[in-house]
Amino acid sequence: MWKKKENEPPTPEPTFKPEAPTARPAAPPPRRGDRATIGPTLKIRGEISGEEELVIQGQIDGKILVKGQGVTVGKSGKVTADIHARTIRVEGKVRGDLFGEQEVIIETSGDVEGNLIAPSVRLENGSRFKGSIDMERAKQQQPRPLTPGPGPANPDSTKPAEPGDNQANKPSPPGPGQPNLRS
Amino acid sequence: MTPSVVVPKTHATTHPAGPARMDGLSHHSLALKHALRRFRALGGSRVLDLGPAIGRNVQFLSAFISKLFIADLYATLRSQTGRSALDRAKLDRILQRDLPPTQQSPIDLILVWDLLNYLDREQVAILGRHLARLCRRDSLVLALLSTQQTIPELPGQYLMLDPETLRCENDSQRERRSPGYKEPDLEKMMPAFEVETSYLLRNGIQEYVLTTRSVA
Repeated sequence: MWKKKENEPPTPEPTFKPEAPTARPAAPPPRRGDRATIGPTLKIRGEISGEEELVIQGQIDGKILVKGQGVTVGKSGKVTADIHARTIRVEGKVRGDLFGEQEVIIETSGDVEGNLIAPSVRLENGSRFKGSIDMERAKQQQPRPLTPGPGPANPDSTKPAEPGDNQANKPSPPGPGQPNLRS
Repeated sequence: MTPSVVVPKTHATTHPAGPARMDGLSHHSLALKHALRRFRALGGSRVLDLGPAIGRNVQFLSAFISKLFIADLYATLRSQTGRSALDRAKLDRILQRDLPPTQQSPIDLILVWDLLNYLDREQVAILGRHLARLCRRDSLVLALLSTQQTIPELPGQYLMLDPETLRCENDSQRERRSPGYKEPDLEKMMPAFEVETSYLLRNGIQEYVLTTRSVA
């Protein structure tokens, strides 16, 4: 039963070939500098998620999740959504909570109503913000040695101010390990 | 309580006889110093700022608080009412919506700045009731009241330069009458609070630190 029959054309040796992939190849990872822009005339309702830089000049209602990359809400951008991203920069208008893995910046033209949760928060002069800033997270992510607080070293050192004694020109800079919340 | 008279530290000429304004001036604020020292002694961590968001203040407070609420209340009241009168129900609604929810942990320090100078007695009373709901025992309130006849047309922006120095910035070109609230007025309008200490500055601003009234 195992002998080949005569006159029978030899059957080709079976060859093993890996099956050709039918699925589409995975999209290449976003390159540095890649960014998507939602133009000023676009209006989107729903969830936007991805892994590349996003610039919003249009209008978005919903939710924005950008993993490991930055989101910029441009000057003409109007967002009613929570935004999750590595860094979030707001030059336009946002109504929603901002979750920055690294930093949230509200620029001079920015107008935000919501809550900011990020290790570093920056409010530029002239920016508008209403809501809460969670500073505990900032402290947890940037551990620092115990530094003297805002109170004087000697709490009993209160003395009336004297003319010409001007401390106002020497604002105290944040301590070395202080959370990076800056103006 | 007899306030201590304090000569403000300034880096510009003061207006001892002029209207009660401090724009562009920094002054040594014993009230701020007192409030921050008490805040720390009480283990406070949550601050409500009724003024506008100021990056410098956020940076300053970040060193020792865990949560900052910014209400920017005067701007909201202005934008919501325009020139129409701010009635009681409307103010209640705005405060209900814009102040932190009462279900959360209480607020330890409320920075009112000079807002009370821009509210009438009934409005101060309503605000006082809303603020009291956010407080715990020993919560603190920092308020600056004018004792002069006139005040800038709009509230100022107060920058905390250090734990005992404030700078006021005010772009108002015009002035308005000051309500001239005094300590008894404050305690009458805001019965949930009592004056812990106050300091009168030479330019006619009286700084108050209030605390929640202890229930007998």
